[in-house]
Amino acid sequence: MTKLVTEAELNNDAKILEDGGAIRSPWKMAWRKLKRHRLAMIGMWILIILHLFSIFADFFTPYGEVNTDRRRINHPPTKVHIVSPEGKLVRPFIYRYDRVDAMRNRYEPDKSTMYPIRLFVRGDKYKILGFETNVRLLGVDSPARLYLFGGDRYGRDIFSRIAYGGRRSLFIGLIGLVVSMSIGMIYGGIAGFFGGWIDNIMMRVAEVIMSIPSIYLLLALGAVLPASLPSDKRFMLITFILAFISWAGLARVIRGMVLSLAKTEFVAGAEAIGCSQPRIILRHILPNTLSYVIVNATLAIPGFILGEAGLSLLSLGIQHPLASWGNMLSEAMNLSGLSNYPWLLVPGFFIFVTVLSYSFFGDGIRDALDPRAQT
Amino acid sequence: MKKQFFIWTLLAVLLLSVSVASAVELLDPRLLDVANDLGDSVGRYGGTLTIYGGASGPKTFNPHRAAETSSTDVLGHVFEGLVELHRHTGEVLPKLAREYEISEDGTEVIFKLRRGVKWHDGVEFTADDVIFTFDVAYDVNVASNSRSGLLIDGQPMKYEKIDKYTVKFTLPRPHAPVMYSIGTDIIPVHLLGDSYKEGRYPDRWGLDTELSSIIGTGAWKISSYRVDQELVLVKNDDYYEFDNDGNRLPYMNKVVFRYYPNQETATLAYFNGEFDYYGIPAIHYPQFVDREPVSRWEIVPAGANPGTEFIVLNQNPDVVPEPQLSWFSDTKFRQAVAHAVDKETILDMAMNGMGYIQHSPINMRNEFFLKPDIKIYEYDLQLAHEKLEAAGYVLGRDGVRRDSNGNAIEFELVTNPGVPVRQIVGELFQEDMAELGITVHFRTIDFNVLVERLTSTFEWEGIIIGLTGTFDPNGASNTWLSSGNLHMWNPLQEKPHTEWEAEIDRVWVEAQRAMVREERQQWYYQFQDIVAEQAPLFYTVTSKMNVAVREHLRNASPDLVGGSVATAWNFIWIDR
Repeated sequence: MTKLVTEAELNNDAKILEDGGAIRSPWKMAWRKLKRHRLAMIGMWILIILHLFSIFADFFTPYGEVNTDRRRINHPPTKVHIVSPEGKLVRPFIYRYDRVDAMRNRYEPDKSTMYPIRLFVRGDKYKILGFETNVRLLGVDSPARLYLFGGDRYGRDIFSRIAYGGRRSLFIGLIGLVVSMSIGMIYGGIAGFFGGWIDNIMMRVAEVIMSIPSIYLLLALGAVLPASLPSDKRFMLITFILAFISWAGLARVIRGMVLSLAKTEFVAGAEAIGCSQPRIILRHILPNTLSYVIVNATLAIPGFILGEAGLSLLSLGIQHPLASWGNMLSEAMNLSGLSNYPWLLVPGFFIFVTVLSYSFFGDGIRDALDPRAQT
Repeated sequence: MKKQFFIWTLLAVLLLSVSVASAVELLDPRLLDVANDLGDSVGRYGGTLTIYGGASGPKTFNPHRAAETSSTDVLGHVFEGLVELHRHTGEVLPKLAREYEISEDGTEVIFKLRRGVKWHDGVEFTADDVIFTFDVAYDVNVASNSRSGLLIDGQPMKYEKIDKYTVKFTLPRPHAPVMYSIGTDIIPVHLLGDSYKEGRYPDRWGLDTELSSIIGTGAWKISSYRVDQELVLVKNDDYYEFDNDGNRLPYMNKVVFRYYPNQETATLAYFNGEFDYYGIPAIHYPQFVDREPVSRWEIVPAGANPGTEFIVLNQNPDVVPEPQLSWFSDTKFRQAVAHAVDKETILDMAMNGMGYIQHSPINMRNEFFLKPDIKIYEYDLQLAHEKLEAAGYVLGRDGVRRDSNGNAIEFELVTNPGVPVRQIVGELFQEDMAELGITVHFRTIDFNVLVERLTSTFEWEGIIIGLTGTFDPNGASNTWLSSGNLHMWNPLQEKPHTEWEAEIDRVWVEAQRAMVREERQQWYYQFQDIVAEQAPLFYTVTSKMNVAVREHLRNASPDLVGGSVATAWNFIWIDR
């Protein structure tokens, strides 16, 4: 099978070359290969959907992030019905749940009234692109409350909070990545290009940074940072700090690659025509390391996501009442909570899916960018 | 079969008492009104009680070296004091003393000892043992756990032997709470006197000691111990307590402590029938309720958890900056904010409703001192708003509340992670304060950092924390006296900073001086009124405690004064 496809490709390429000499750029070829990698494409689409869901969380969710209901603690997921008690097919509706057993937080639906799920309802206010609005995609009439994935111990809707939490859990990875990648590449590039004692000093510094135990650093920071720092800024700061200590590993690999690239003919050529050193590093050498960097990136993002989950679990990350997948999951930490309210694990499922999607996507990218896999 | 056993036991008891006790005759037996006093019943002999001892066993068998409950839970049955506390009311009852007498002016206490009480090795217990015990307890080098409780204003009591069966204590000033400490475990001078003189007392009776040489006067003797697994106590056949019908106590032959590493394991072991008596962890309570109808045990309520959980705002003028300091030290501000603590919801969320709302600093089990009609702060945001407005903290058009100088009200509130109830208190409080236009920055910090801030740097604005409760109110001296190290909002003051703190100091010392219980009650009522009025702490909730008792146990009602374990084993009996 593989062979047949490869042949077809070759023929195809040959034809195009004959046609007009239009050589496809490596990026386009990689994209074509990536499109053929089914798992990678599934991963990519899942990630796109999750990110959009989080960005437009205000619209897609029935309730605001901190909308609590103190009388509905650990509410189970509401069942969505489409068949009315008379047996007719109707638009989706739910029942209102009443707490029948306070000690065990047991709820029973009250089947006397049906509450249809409405579209484009007015709910909690939010701002989008500078406009203030309160139109939300889904909602039900009060006193019923829609808990698609159940509620937490403050009576907040887990479905809504997953969307809002994604804003932090998903994007924290991207931010951390941009910071650590840019530092790592430039630092590694300079060290590798100049070599000698500059390289020696720079690499020792990187090793010192690598040897800082991150958990202790974060524990110390957690105690030192002023509490008046808003939770999301605080987490941003911690992410930056995490990124600042995690670039060193990447810098080492880049430096190794640059060391060998610096001896190639095209670098000698660039020097010969009088290119400046920064230009050589930025325009000629670093782009050649990109395939490695991109693969590394897709694998590093799950690391940041899991890192956030871990930190929030230790209550160093995003703090209540703001949501992140990690701190939502920390509610499911004890056995009795877990056995009585299993829906508290839903954020864990989202972390799992996201990390898996990034792995598949990263896999696909690696295959697509690997120059040795081209023939 | 049963009858035969009974006769044999009786014979054995008689034989033993004849053979050993010929020299020492018990002249002052202690008669316990088992049938009436405790609402219990006269029992039958025999059987074994197995209980849960916690995660680990004793660390020492030396009663004046024991500091942790794992050791004292066991040693409290092997050694005894001159007095003991009534396990339901906390009254001071004579134990090794036959009776005690407090002089008119409250500075002299004379103990008449029980004559003919024997140590487990047959030697008679006398005033020499008492004198020796207090020598040891007051010795700085021994560092006995009882020492601080026996000091009055930092001074020891004087104690002297009047005759073989009489000891007199002289107090520097009247001090009622000392009666709660004076029942410290009496140790035998004939076994430990020499090593104490040689300065080796602290090393005696460690875990490596031959168990048969651990000699007390108690109803129980240590018979075997497998470290952190199982400890067995056997009954003292020579004990000096008798029930209504003249039967010598205790009824049971053995008590076994079992140790399990955590509560999950212990609960499963209890369901398996591995032990008989168990303080149910709150989170497992529903499981116990669900199983009760088909189980062979019953759930007995054991009252409120003795501890407290509260929010406290720092009023320490040395470290708290303005304008926070003037808000926090403004009584009107605190009173208003106290209305914003949603105790009902906290109870619901943190304890599934299985608890009590607290209004007073007094241990909720100690009903005698707990003032019933104390001023309470109901959860009412509207009222909080009105009170804040009246006190000059005005809500602006922008939804921000400001003080009279125009400062936006905003402060930091911290607690330690891992205690769900504190997390919930903080989050609800933050939300409610936001409703009132006040920004609270709530977050969790590491427990050690928290304690350091609370006790040494004093740099904090608001904290959510709890205190363990002692049965006698005076145990909280370090919290309520303005000189106390746990007087959290402004500790270690040289002289009271505010009028109401001075008033608390005065009332507190008056309560110590009142040797009559009813008088003390009045002083503590006054104290509670001041605290409720000033609201230095915003009390929240405390959990309900329950024990599971195997159905064949009789007279096993939970102990309200002591800690986790049922302590009145001497008249528990097994009905099979």
